[in-house]
Amino acid sequence: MVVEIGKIIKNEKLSETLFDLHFYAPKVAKEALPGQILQVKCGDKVTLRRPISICDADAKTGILRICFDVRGEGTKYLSERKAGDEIDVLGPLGKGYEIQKLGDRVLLAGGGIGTFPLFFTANQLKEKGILPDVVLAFRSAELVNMKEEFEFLGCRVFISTDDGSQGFCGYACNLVETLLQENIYSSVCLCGPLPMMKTTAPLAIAHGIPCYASLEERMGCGVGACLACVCSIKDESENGFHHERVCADGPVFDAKTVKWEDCGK
Amino acid sequence: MNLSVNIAGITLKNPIVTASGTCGFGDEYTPFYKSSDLGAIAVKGLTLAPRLGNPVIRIAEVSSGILNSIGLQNPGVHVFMEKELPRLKREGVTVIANISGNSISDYCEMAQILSNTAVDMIEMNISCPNVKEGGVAFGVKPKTVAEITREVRKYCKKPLIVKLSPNVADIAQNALAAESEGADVLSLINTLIGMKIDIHTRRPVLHNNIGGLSGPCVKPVAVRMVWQVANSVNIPIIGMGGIETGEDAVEFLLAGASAVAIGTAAFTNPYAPITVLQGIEQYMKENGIDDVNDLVGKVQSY
Repeated sequence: MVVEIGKIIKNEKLSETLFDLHFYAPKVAKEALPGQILQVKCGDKVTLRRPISICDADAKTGILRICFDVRGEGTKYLSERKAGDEIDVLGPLGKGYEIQKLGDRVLLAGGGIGTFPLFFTANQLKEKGILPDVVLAFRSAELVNMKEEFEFLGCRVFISTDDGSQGFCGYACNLVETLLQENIYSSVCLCGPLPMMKTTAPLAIAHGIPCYASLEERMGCGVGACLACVCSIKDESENGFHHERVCADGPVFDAKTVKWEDCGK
Repeated sequence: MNLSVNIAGITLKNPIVTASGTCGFGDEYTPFYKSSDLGAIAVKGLTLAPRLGNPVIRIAEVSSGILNSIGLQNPGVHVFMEKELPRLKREGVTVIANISGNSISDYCEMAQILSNTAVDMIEMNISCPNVKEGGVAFGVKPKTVAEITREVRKYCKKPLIVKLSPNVADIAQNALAAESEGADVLSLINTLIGMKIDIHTRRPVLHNNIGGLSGPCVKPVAVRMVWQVANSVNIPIIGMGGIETGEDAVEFLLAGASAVAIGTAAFTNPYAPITVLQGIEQYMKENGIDDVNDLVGKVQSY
Protein backbone atom coordinates (compact mmCIF):
# COMPACT_ATOMS: atom_id res chain seq x y z
CA MET A 1 0.00 0.00 0.00
CA VAL A 2 1.53 3.28 -1.13
CA VAL A 3 0.62 6.77 -2.21
CA GLU A 4 1.90 7.24 -5.72
CA ILE A 5 1.69 10.15 -8.13
CA GLY A 6 1.03 8.42 -11.43
CA LYS A 7 1.02 9.78 -14.95
CA ILE A 8 -2.07 9.54 -17.11
CA ILE A 9 -1.52 7.80 -20.46
CA LYS A 10 -5.05 8.15 -21.78
CA ASN A 11 -8.51 8.98 -20.50
CA GLU A 12 -11.04 7.70 -22.98
CA LYS A 13 -14.73 8.49 -22.92
CA LEU A 14 -16.66 5.23 -23.33
CA SER A 15 -20.14 6.74 -23.08
CA GLU A 16 -21.82 9.91 -21.83
CA THR A 17 -20.71 9.26 -18.24
CA LEU A 18 -18.25 6.38 -18.45
CA PHE A 19 -14.47 6.85 -18.61
CA ASP A 20 -11.59 4.45 -19.17
CA LEU A 21 -8.42 5.84 -17.62
CA HIS A 22 -4.97 4.32 -18.14
CA PHE A 23 -2.04 5.55 -16.08
CA TYR A 24 1.53 4.72 -15.18
CA ALA A 25 2.07 4.02 -11.47
CA PRO A 26 4.64 1.21 -11.23
CA LYS A 27 4.66 0.79 -7.45
CA VAL A 28 0.89 0.35 -7.25
CA ALA A 29 0.79 -1.78 -10.42
CA LYS A 30 3.40 -4.15 -8.99
CA GLU A 31 1.34 -4.85 -5.87
CA ALA A 32 -2.15 -4.85 -7.38
CA LEU A 33 -4.36 -7.93 -7.19
CA PRO A 34 -7.74 -8.56 -8.84
CA GLY A 35 -10.68 -7.06 -6.95
CA GLN A 36 -8.56 -4.57 -5.03
CA ILE A 37 -9.38 -0.88 -5.05
CA LEU A 38 -7.61 2.44 -5.26
CA GLN A 39 -8.45 5.63 -3.39
CA VAL A 40 -8.04 8.32 -6.00
CA LYS A 41 -7.53 11.95 -5.08
CA CYS A 42 -9.88 14.12 -7.12
CA GLY A 43 -8.35 17.58 -6.91
CA ASP A 44 -8.15 19.92 -3.96
CA LYS A 45 -11.83 20.79 -3.76
CA VAL A 46 -13.09 17.48 -2.40
CA THR A 47 -11.97 16.20 1.00
CA LEU A 48 -12.29 12.47 0.48
CA ARG A 49 -10.54 10.32 -2.07
CA ARG A 50 -12.81 8.26 -4.34
CA PRO A 51 -12.67 4.47 -4.13
CA ILE A 52 -12.41 2.93 -7.61
CA SER A 53 -11.79 -0.72 -8.48
CA ILE A 54 -8.76 -1.71 -10.49
CA CYS A 55 -9.88 -2.76 -13.97
CA ASP A 56 -6.47 -4.04 -14.94
CA ALA A 57 -2.85 -3.78 -13.81
CA ASP A 58 0.38 -4.88 -15.42
CA ALA A 59 3.31 -5.31 -13.06
CA LYS A 60 5.73 -5.45 -16.03
CA THR A 61 4.74 -2.20 -17.72
CA GLY A 62 3.60 -0.42 -14.53
CA ILE A 63 0.33 0.51 -16.17
CA LEU A 64 -3.02 0.48 -14.38
CA ARG A 65 -6.49 0.92 -15.72
CA ILE A 66 -9.58 2.19 -13.92
CA CYS A 67 -13.04 2.67 -15.39
CA PHE A 68 -15.50 4.92 -13.65
CA ASP A 69 -18.90 6.49 -13.97
CA VAL A 70 -19.21 10.22 -13.39
CA ARG A 71 -21.42 10.41 -10.30
CA GLY A 72 -20.44 13.68 -8.67
CA GLU A 73 -17.82 16.36 -8.24
CA GLY A 74 -14.91 13.96 -7.63
CA THR A 75 -15.44 11.71 -10.62
CA LYS A 76 -16.24 14.74 -12.79
CA TYR A 77 -12.80 16.13 -11.92
CA LEU A 78 -11.25 12.79 -12.81
CA SER A 79 -13.11 12.67 -16.14
CA GLU A 80 -11.52 15.99 -17.10
CA ARG A 81 -7.93 14.78 -16.67
CA LYS A 82 -5.90 14.41 -19.85
CA ALA A 83 -2.93 12.35 -21.01
CA GLY A 84 0.20 13.67 -19.32
CA ASP A 85 -1.65 14.89 -16.20
CA GLU A 86 -0.76 13.54 -12.78
CA ILE A 87 -3.04 11.24 -10.78
CA ASP A 88 -2.60 10.77 -7.03
CA VAL A 89 -3.56 7.25 -5.97
CA LEU A 90 -3.52 5.43 -2.64
CA GLY A 91 -3.44 1.68 -2.97
CA PRO A 92 -3.78 -1.08 -3.77
CA LEU A 93 -6.27 -1.53 -0.94
CA GLY A 94 -8.12 -4.41 0.62
CA LYS A 95 -8.63 -8.02 -0.26
CA GLY A 96 -9.82 -8.98 -3.71
CA TYR A 97 -10.76 -12.25 -5.40
CA GLU A 98 -8.27 -14.91 -4.33
CA ILE A 99 -7.38 -16.53 -7.63
CA GLN A 100 -5.97 -19.67 -6.01
CA LYS A 101 -9.28 -20.30 -4.21
CA LEU A 102 -11.50 -20.08 -7.28
CA GLY A 103 -10.86 -23.51 -8.78
CA ASP A 104 -10.69 -24.22 -12.50
CA ARG A 105 -14.26 -23.52 -13.67
CA VAL A 106 -14.98 -19.97 -12.65
CA LEU A 107 -18.10 -17.95 -13.43
CA LEU A 108 -17.65 -14.18 -13.30
CA ALA A 109 -20.88 -12.17 -13.17
CA GLY A 110 -20.78 -8.41 -13.45
CA GLY A 111 -23.56 -5.87 -13.57
CA GLY A 112 -23.22 -2.37 -15.01
CA ILE A 113 -19.83 -0.91 -14.10
CA GLY A 114 -19.20 -3.98 -11.93
CA THR A 115 -17.91 -5.65 -15.09
CA PHE A 116 -14.61 -3.74 -14.94
CA PRO A 117 -12.84 -5.29 -11.91
CA LEU A 118 -13.80 -8.73 -13.21
CA PHE A 119 -11.61 -8.09 -16.25
CA PHE A 120 -8.47 -8.01 -14.07
CA THR A 121 -9.73 -11.22 -12.45
CA ALA A 122 -10.24 -12.90 -15.84
CA ASN A 123 -6.80 -11.78 -16.96
CA GLN A 124 -5.13 -13.27 -13.88
CA LEU A 125 -7.10 -16.49 -14.24
CA LYS A 126 -6.00 -16.75 -17.86
CA GLU A 127 -2.36 -16.48 -16.75
CA LYS A 128 -3.02 -19.59 -14.68
CA GLY A 129 -4.48 -21.30 -17.72
CA ILE A 130 -8.08 -20.88 -16.62
CA LEU A 131 -10.61 -19.24 -18.92
CA PRO A 132 -13.65 -18.17 -16.91
CA ASP A 133 -17.18 -17.89 -18.22
CA VAL A 134 -18.48 -14.35 -17.97
CA VAL A 135 -21.98 -12.94 -17.46
CA LEU A 136 -22.28 -9.25 -18.24
CA ALA A 137 -25.60 -7.73 -17.23
CA PHE A 138 -26.92 -4.30 -18.17
CA ARG A 139 -30.15 -2.39 -18.18
CA SER A 140 -30.10 -2.01 -21.94
CA ALA A 141 -28.01 -2.70 -25.08
CA GLU A 142 -26.47 0.77 -25.28
CA LEU A 143 -24.87 0.27 -21.85
CA VAL A 144 -23.09 -2.96 -22.78
CA ASN A 145 -19.35 -2.73 -22.13
CA MET A 146 -16.28 -4.98 -21.99
CA LYS A 147 -17.87 -7.73 -24.14
CA GLU A 148 -15.16 -7.71 -26.82
CA GLU A 149 -12.36 -7.51 -24.27
CA PHE A 150 -13.51 -10.60 -22.40
CA GLU A 151 -14.06 -12.39 -25.72
CA PHE A 152 -10.57 -11.39 -26.83
CA LEU A 153 -9.21 -13.20 -23.76
CA GLY A 154 -11.06 -16.26 -24.96
CA CYS A 155 -13.84 -16.26 -22.35
CA ARG A 156 -17.36 -17.48 -23.08
CA VAL A 157 -19.39 -14.28 -22.67
CA PHE A 158 -23.12 -14.19 -21.91
CA ILE A 159 -24.93 -10.86 -22.12
CA SER A 160 -28.17 -10.06 -20.38
CA THR A 161 -30.22 -6.90 -20.59
CA ASP A 162 -33.19 -6.01 -18.44
CA ASP A 163 -35.17 -4.92 -21.50
CA GLY A 164 -34.01 -7.69 -23.81
CA SER A 165 -32.41 -5.26 -26.25
CA GLN A 166 -29.32 -7.48 -26.40
CA GLY A 167 -28.67 -11.06 -25.39
CA PHE A 168 -30.71 -12.76 -22.71
CA CYS A 169 -33.80 -10.82 -21.62
CA GLY A 170 -33.87 -10.53 -17.87
CA TYR A 171 -31.71 -9.94 -14.86
CA ALA A 172 -28.24 -11.24 -14.09
CA CYS A 173 -29.71 -13.65 -11.54
CA ASN A 174 -31.94 -15.28 -14.17
CA LEU A 175 -29.03 -15.85 -16.53
CA VAL A 176 -26.73 -17.06 -13.76
CA GLU A 177 -29.39 -19.49 -12.56
CA THR A 178 -29.60 -20.98 -16.05
CA LEU A 179 -25.83 -21.40 -16.20
CA LEU A 180 -25.65 -22.90 -12.71
CA GLN A 181 -27.98 -25.67 -13.90
CA GLU A 182 -25.01 -27.01 -15.87
CA ASN A 183 -23.37 -27.89 -12.54
CA ILE A 184 -19.88 -27.22 -13.86
CA TYR A 185 -18.67 -24.26 -11.81
CA SER A 186 -16.10 -24.34 -9.03
CA SER A 187 -16.83 -20.75 -7.92
CA VAL A 188 -18.78 -17.59 -8.75
CA CYS A 189 -17.38 -14.05 -8.51
CA LEU A 190 -19.86 -11.19 -8.36
CA CYS A 191 -19.47 -7.47 -8.84
CA GLY A 192 -22.32 -5.12 -9.50
CA PRO A 193 -25.18 -3.12 -8.05
CA LEU A 194 -26.49 -4.35 -4.71
CA PRO A 195 -29.85 -5.66 -6.04
CA MET A 196 -27.96 -7.75 -8.61
CA MET A 197 -25.65 -9.27 -6.00
CA LYS A 198 -28.43 -9.75 -3.45
CA THR A 199 -30.44 -11.79 -5.95
CA THR A 200 -27.54 -13.66 -7.52
CA ALA A 201 -25.46 -14.67 -4.48
CA PRO A 202 -28.18 -16.88 -2.92
CA LEU A 203 -28.40 -18.90 -6.16
CA ALA A 204 -24.73 -19.85 -6.08
CA ILE A 205 -24.96 -20.56 -2.37
CA ALA A 206 -28.02 -22.79 -2.95
CA HIS A 207 -26.01 -24.75 -5.49
CA GLY A 208 -23.25 -25.18 -2.91
CA ILE A 209 -20.80 -23.19 -5.02
CA PRO A 210 -18.36 -20.83 -3.30
CA CYS A 211 -19.41 -17.29 -4.14
CA TYR A 212 -17.37 -14.11 -3.66
CA ALA A 213 -18.96 -10.68 -3.88
CA SER A 214 -17.36 -7.25 -4.11
CA LEU A 215 -19.17 -4.80 -1.83
CA GLU A 216 -19.35 -1.04 -2.01
CA GLU A 217 -19.80 1.42 0.83
CA ARG A 218 -19.16 5.12 1.48
CA MET A 219 -15.50 5.20 2.36
CA GLY A 220 -13.36 7.46 4.51
CA CYS A 221 -9.68 6.70 5.06
CA GLY A 222 -9.39 3.64 2.78
CA VAL A 223 -6.87 1.96 5.08
CA GLY A 224 -9.18 0.49 7.73
CA ALA A 225 -8.73 3.17 10.37
CA CYS A 226 -11.95 5.19 10.41
CA LEU A 227 -14.58 2.40 10.32
CA ALA A 228 -16.91 4.33 8.01
CA CYS A 229 -17.27 1.71 5.26
CA VAL A 230 -18.46 -1.30 7.21
CA CYS A 231 -20.67 -4.20 6.20
CA SER A 232 -22.36 -6.81 8.39
CA ILE A 233 -20.77 -10.25 8.45
CA LYS A 234 -22.66 -13.12 10.08
CA ASP A 235 -21.09 -14.89 13.05
CA GLU A 236 -21.90 -17.00 16.10
CA SER A 237 -22.00 -14.07 18.51
CA GLU A 238 -25.03 -12.96 20.49
CA ASN A 239 -25.81 -10.33 17.85
CA GLY A 240 -25.38 -12.85 15.07
CA PHE A 241 -23.08 -10.52 13.14
CA HIS A 242 -20.19 -8.12 13.39
CA HIS A 243 -18.95 -5.28 11.23
CA GLU A 244 -16.03 -5.63 8.84
CA ARG A 245 -14.35 -2.90 6.84
CA VAL A 246 -15.03 -2.86 3.10
CA CYS A 247 -11.74 -1.04 2.43
CA ALA A 248 -9.46 -3.32 4.45
CA ASP A 249 -11.26 -6.63 5.12
CA GLY A 250 -12.99 -6.48 1.70
CA PRO A 251 -14.13 -5.25 -0.74
CA VAL A 252 -14.51 -8.93 -1.70
CA PHE A 253 -16.27 -11.08 0.87
CA ASP A 254 -17.45 -14.68 0.95
CA ALA A 255 -21.08 -14.11 -0.08
CA LYS A 256 -22.48 -16.68 2.34
CA THR A 257 -21.08 -14.75 5.32
CA VAL A 258 -22.57 -11.41 4.24
CA LYS A 259 -25.72 -10.27 6.03
CA TRP A 260 -27.23 -9.00 2.82
CA GLU A 261 -30.32 -7.48 4.44
CA ASP A 262 -28.06 -4.94 6.20
CA CYS A 263 -26.37 -3.81 2.97
CA GLY A 264 -27.47 -0.57 1.40
CA LYS A 265 -29.81 0.41 4.22
CA MET B 1 15.62 22.78 17.45
CA ASN B 2 13.33 21.48 20.21
CA LEU B 3 10.05 19.98 19.12
CA SER B 4 9.24 18.12 22.33
CA VAL B 5 6.46 19.29 24.58
CA ASN B 6 5.51 18.31 28.10
CA ILE B 7 1.84 17.68 28.71
CA ALA B 8 0.93 17.01 32.34
CA GLY B 9 4.30 15.39 33.06
CA ILE B 10 4.32 13.27 29.89
CA THR B 11 6.96 14.16 27.32
CA LEU B 12 5.75 14.06 23.73
CA LYS B 13 8.69 13.94 21.31
CA ASN B 14 6.82 16.41 19.13
CA PRO B 15 3.48 18.21 19.38
CA ILE B 16 1.71 15.93 16.89
CA VAL B 17 -1.07 13.64 18.12
CA THR B 18 -3.54 11.65 16.03
CA ALA B 19 -7.17 12.43 16.83
CA SER B 20 -9.21 9.63 18.37
CA GLY B 21 -11.30 7.70 15.86
CA THR B 22 -9.21 8.59 12.85
CA CYS B 23 -6.25 6.26 13.27
CA GLY B 24 -7.78 3.08 14.73
CA PHE B 25 -5.32 1.58 17.17
CA GLY B 26 -2.33 3.04 15.41
CA ASP B 27 -1.37 0.18 13.12
CA GLU B 28 -3.35 1.01 9.98
CA TYR B 29 -0.96 3.80 9.06
CA THR B 30 2.26 1.80 9.49
CA PRO B 31 2.84 1.68 5.71
CA PHE B 32 3.26 5.46 5.93
CA TYR B 33 4.91 6.27 9.27
CA LYS B 34 5.65 4.75 12.65
CA SER B 35 3.22 5.71 15.39
CA SER B 36 6.26 6.17 17.63
CA ASP B 37 7.43 8.98 15.33
CA LEU B 38 4.53 11.09 16.60
CA GLY B 39 4.03 12.78 19.95
CA ALA B 40 1.17 10.44 20.83
CA ILE B 41 -1.64 8.34 19.40
CA ALA B 42 -5.18 8.84 20.71
CA VAL B 43 -6.77 5.47 20.03
CA LYS B 44 -10.29 4.76 18.83
CA GLY B 45 -12.90 5.63 21.48
CA LEU B 46 -13.31 2.78 23.95
CA THR B 47 -16.35 1.65 25.89
CA LEU B 48 -16.63 -0.96 28.66
CA ALA B 49 -18.40 -3.48 26.44
CA PRO B 50 -17.76 -3.94 22.72
CA ARG B 51 -19.97 -1.83 20.43
CA LEU B 52 -21.07 -2.59 16.87
CA GLY B 53 -21.51 1.06 16.01
CA ASN B 54 -24.18 2.67 13.85
CA PRO B 55 -25.68 1.25 10.65
CA VAL B 56 -24.28 2.60 7.38
CA ILE B 57 -24.21 5.19 5.82
CA ARG B 58 -21.66 6.48 8.32
CA ILE B 59 -19.85 9.15 6.34
CA ALA B 60 -20.83 11.99 4.04
CA GLU B 61 -18.77 14.58 2.26
CA VAL B 62 -19.61 18.27 2.58
CA SER B 63 -17.85 21.43 1.40
CA SER B 64 -14.31 21.31 2.80
CA GLY B 65 -15.09 18.58 5.26
CA ILE B 66 -16.96 15.45 6.21
CA LEU B 67 -19.78 14.34 8.45
CA ASN B 68 -19.38 11.07 10.31
CA SER B 69 -21.55 8.96 12.55
CA ILE B 70 -19.51 5.85 13.24
CA GLY B 71 -21.16 5.37 16.61
CA LEU B 72 -18.16 4.28 18.67
CA GLN B 73 -17.64 0.89 17.05
CA ASN B 74 -14.92 -0.66 19.20
CA PRO B 75 -13.94 -4.02 20.69
CA GLY B 76 -14.25 -2.83 24.29
CA VAL B 77 -11.65 -1.70 26.76
CA HIS B 78 -10.57 -5.23 27.74
CA VAL B 79 -9.78 -6.35 24.21
CA PHE B 80 -7.84 -3.12 23.71
CA MET B 81 -5.76 -3.85 26.81
CA GLU B 82 -5.05 -7.44 25.80
CA LYS B 83 -4.58 -7.14 22.05
CA GLU B 84 -3.62 -3.60 21.14
CA LEU B 85 -1.89 -1.94 24.07
CA PRO B 86 1.03 -4.42 24.48
CA ARG B 87 1.91 -3.99 20.79
CA LEU B 88 1.72 -0.19 20.98
CA LYS B 89 3.98 -0.12 24.03
CA ARG B 90 6.45 -2.54 22.43
CA GLU B 91 6.65 -0.13 19.52
CA GLY B 92 7.43 2.71 21.92
CA VAL B 93 4.23 4.64 21.22
CA THR B 94 2.88 7.22 23.65
CA VAL B 95 -0.73 6.11 24.04
CA ILE B 96 -3.78 8.16 24.89
CA ALA B 97 -6.75 5.93 25.73
CA ASN B 98 -10.01 7.63 24.78
CA ILE B 99 -13.02 6.54 26.86
CA SER B 100 -16.80 6.92 26.51
CA GLY B 101 -19.67 5.65 28.59
CA ASN B 102 -23.36 5.64 29.45
CA SER B 103 -22.99 6.74 33.01
CA ILE B 104 -20.52 8.36 35.34
CA SER B 105 -19.81 4.95 36.83
CA ASP B 106 -18.87 3.59 33.36
CA TYR B 107 -16.28 6.33 33.02
CA CYS B 108 -14.99 5.75 36.54
CA GLU B 109 -14.68 2.01 35.96
CA MET B 110 -12.75 2.48 32.71
CA ALA B 111 -10.50 5.11 34.25
CA GLN B 112 -9.75 2.72 37.11
CA ILE B 113 -9.05 -0.24 34.81
CA LEU B 114 -6.84 1.80 32.49
CA SER B 115 -4.96 3.38 35.37
CA ASN B 116 -3.42 -0.03 36.03
CA THR B 117 -2.14 -0.37 32.46
CA ALA B 118 0.71 1.10 30.46
CA VAL B 119 -1.42 3.79 28.79
CA ASP B 120 0.18 7.19 29.15
CA MET B 121 -2.91 9.36 29.42
CA ILE B 122 -6.66 8.95 29.55
CA GLU B 123 -8.87 11.15 27.40
CA MET B 124 -12.43 11.40 28.62
CA ASN B 125 -14.79 11.87 25.70
CA ILE B 126 -17.86 13.66 26.98
CA SER B 127 -18.79 14.97 23.59
CA CYS B 128 -19.41 12.15 21.10
CA PRO B 129 -22.36 13.43 19.07
CA ASN B 130 -23.15 10.08 17.49
CA VAL B 131 -24.50 7.84 20.22
CA LYS B 132 -26.85 8.43 23.10
CA GLU B 133 -24.28 6.83 25.33
CA GLY B 134 -21.43 8.96 23.99
CA GLY B 135 -21.35 11.04 27.10
CA VAL B 136 -22.58 14.13 25.33
CA ALA B 137 -25.13 14.51 28.13
CA PHE B 138 -22.21 15.20 30.47
CA GLY B 139 -20.39 17.50 28.12
CA VAL B 140 -22.92 20.24 27.53
CA LYS B 141 -23.27 22.14 30.81
CA PRO B 142 -20.50 23.32 33.13
CA LYS B 143 -22.26 21.71 36.11
CA THR B 144 -22.23 18.21 34.60
CA VAL B 145 -18.72 18.65 33.19
CA ALA B 146 -17.61 19.46 36.75
CA GLU B 147 -19.48 16.52 38.22
CA ILE B 148 -18.11 13.86 35.89
CA THR B 149 -14.57 15.25 36.04
CA ARG B 150 -14.68 15.23 39.86
CA GLU B 151 -15.85 11.60 40.01
CA VAL B 152 -13.53 10.24 37.30
CA ARG B 153 -10.60 12.09 38.87
CA LYS B 154 -10.99 9.92 41.96
CA TYR B 155 -10.29 6.77 39.93
CA CYS B 156 -7.93 8.09 37.30
CA LYS B 157 -4.28 7.72 38.27
CA LYS B 158 -3.04 8.80 34.84
CA PRO B 159 -3.01 12.33 33.47
CA LEU B 160 -6.65 13.07 32.67
CA ILE B 161 -7.57 14.82 29.44
CA VAL B 162 -11.13 16.11 29.12
CA LYS B 163 -12.25 16.36 25.51
CA LEU B 164 -14.62 19.26 25.11
CA SER B 165 -17.61 19.61 22.84
CA PRO B 166 -17.95 22.67 20.63
CA ASN B 167 -21.74 22.24 20.64
CA VAL B 168 -22.19 24.37 23.76
CA ALA B 169 -23.12 27.89 24.75
CA ASP B 170 -19.77 28.90 26.24
CA ILE B 171 -16.87 26.48 25.90
CA ALA B 172 -14.68 28.49 28.27
CA GLN B 173 -17.12 27.83 31.11
CA ASN B 174 -16.92 24.06 30.47
CA ALA B 175 -13.14 24.29 30.31
CA LEU B 176 -13.04 26.07 33.66
CA ALA B 177 -15.38 23.49 35.16
CA ALA B 178 -13.10 20.64 34.04
CA GLU B 179 -9.98 22.42 35.25
CA SER B 180 -11.47 23.24 38.64
CA GLU B 181 -12.30 19.55 39.25
CA GLY B 182 -8.88 18.24 38.40
CA ALA B 183 -8.53 17.81 34.64
CA ASP B 184 -4.83 17.86 33.73
CA VAL B 185 -5.30 18.64 30.05
CA LEU B 186 -8.11 19.76 27.76
CA SER B 187 -8.53 18.60 24.20
CA LEU B 188 -10.73 20.47 21.74
CA ILE B 189 -12.66 20.54 19.60
CA ASN B 190 -14.72 17.41 19.11
CA THR B 191 -16.86 17.51 15.97
CA LEU B 192 -19.60 20.05 15.37
CA ILE B 193 -23.03 18.52 14.89
CA GLY B 194 -24.19 18.71 11.29
CA MET B 195 -26.59 17.23 8.79
CA LYS B 196 -26.76 16.54 5.07
CA ILE B 197 -29.94 15.79 3.16
CA ASP B 198 -30.17 13.99 -0.18
CA ILE B 199 -32.66 16.21 -2.00
CA HIS B 200 -33.53 13.45 -4.49
CA THR B 201 -34.52 10.86 -1.91
CA ARG B 202 -35.44 13.53 0.67
CA ARG B 203 -33.64 11.50 3.29
CA PRO B 204 -30.64 12.33 5.45
CA VAL B 205 -27.44 10.95 3.93
CA LEU B 206 -26.32 9.55 7.30
CA HIS B 207 -28.34 6.70 8.76
CA ASN B 208 -28.03 8.43 12.13
CA ASN B 209 -29.64 11.52 10.52
CA ILE B 210 -27.01 13.78 12.08
CA GLY B 211 -23.28 13.45 12.50
CA GLY B 212 -20.05 15.12 13.48
CA LEU B 213 -18.54 17.72 11.15
CA SER B 214 -14.76 17.79 10.76
CA GLY B 215 -12.14 18.86 8.27
CA PRO B 216 -10.88 22.23 7.06
CA CYS B 217 -14.34 23.81 7.33
CA VAL B 218 -14.27 23.66 11.15
CA LYS B 219 -10.79 25.11 11.60
CA PRO B 220 -11.72 28.76 12.25
CA VAL B 221 -14.25 27.66 14.89
CA ALA B 222 -11.66 25.41 16.50
CA VAL B 223 -8.95 28.07 16.54
CA ARG B 224 -11.37 30.53 18.12
CA MET B 225 -12.39 28.02 20.80
CA VAL B 226 -8.79 27.07 21.60
CA TRP B 227 -7.99 30.77 21.95
CA GLN B 228 -10.98 31.39 24.22
CA VAL B 229 -10.20 28.38 26.39
CA ALA B 230 -6.48 29.21 26.57
CA ASN B 231 -7.41 32.65 27.82
CA SER B 232 -9.47 31.09 30.59
CA VAL B 233 -7.49 28.15 31.98
CA ASN B 234 -3.94 27.36 33.09
CA ILE B 235 -3.75 23.72 32.01
CA PRO B 236 -2.36 22.60 28.64
CA ILE B 237 -4.54 22.21 25.57
CA ILE B 238 -4.40 19.72 22.72
CA GLY B 239 -5.92 21.66 19.84
CA MET B 240 -7.62 20.08 16.85
CA GLY B 241 -10.08 20.78 14.07
CA GLY B 242 -9.26 20.77 10.37
CA ILE B 243 -5.47 20.82 10.61
CA GLU B 244 -3.90 19.82 7.28
CA THR B 245 -0.60 21.71 7.17
CA GLY B 246 2.16 23.04 9.39
CA GLU B 247 0.70 26.53 9.00
CA ASP B 248 -2.65 25.30 10.32
CA ALA B 249 -0.92 23.72 13.31
CA VAL B 250 1.04 26.90 14.05
CA GLU B 251 -2.26 28.80 14.23
CA PHE B 252 -3.42 26.44 16.97
CA LEU B 253 -0.11 26.74 18.84
CA LEU B 254 -0.28 30.53 18.67
CA ALA B 255 -3.90 30.40 19.86
CA GLY B 256 -2.70 28.54 22.95
CA ALA B 257 -2.52 24.82 22.20
CA SER B 258 0.58 22.99 23.49
CA ALA B 259 0.04 20.12 21.06
CA VAL B 260 -2.18 19.52 18.05
CA ALA B 261 -4.16 16.54 16.82
CA ILE B 262 -4.55 15.49 13.18
CA GLY B 263 -7.67 13.64 12.09
CA THR B 264 -9.64 14.04 8.88
CA ALA B 265 -6.58 15.26 6.96
CA ALA B 266 -5.15 11.73 7.05
CA PHE B 267 -8.08 10.51 4.94
CA THR B 268 -6.86 12.67 2.06
CA ASN B 269 -3.15 12.42 2.80
CA PRO B 270 -2.12 9.38 4.85
CA TYR B 271 1.16 11.14 5.65
CA ALA B 272 -0.69 14.15 7.13
CA PRO B 273 0.74 13.90 10.68
CA ILE B 274 4.29 13.86 9.24
CA THR B 275 3.46 16.60 6.72
CA VAL B 276 2.19 18.79 9.55
CA LEU B 277 5.24 18.08 11.70
CA GLN B 278 7.59 18.98 8.86
CA GLY B 279 5.57 22.12 8.21
CA ILE B 280 5.97 23.21 11.83
CA GLU B 281 9.74 22.63 11.60
CA GLN B 282 9.86 24.64 8.39
CA TYR B 283 7.98 27.53 9.99
CA MET B 284 10.32 27.47 13.00
CA LYS B 285 13.38 27.53 10.74
CA GLU B 286 12.04 30.39 8.68
CA ASN B 287 11.19 32.39 11.77
CA GLY B 288 14.28 31.61 13.84
CA ILE B 289 12.39 29.75 16.55
CA ASP B 290 14.41 27.12 18.42
CA ASP B 291 11.74 25.74 20.73
CA VAL B 292 8.23 24.90 19.66
CA ASN B 293 7.01 25.80 23.15
CA ASP B 294 7.90 29.42 22.37
CA LEU B 295 4.97 29.53 19.96
CA VAL B 296 2.33 28.46 22.45
CA GLY B 297 -0.20 31.19 23.16
CA LYS B 298 1.88 33.82 21.40
CA VAL B 299 -0.89 35.31 19.31
CA GLN B 300 -0.88 39.07 19.80
CA SER B 301 -4.57 39.64 20.20
CA TYR B 302 -6.15 43.04 19.69
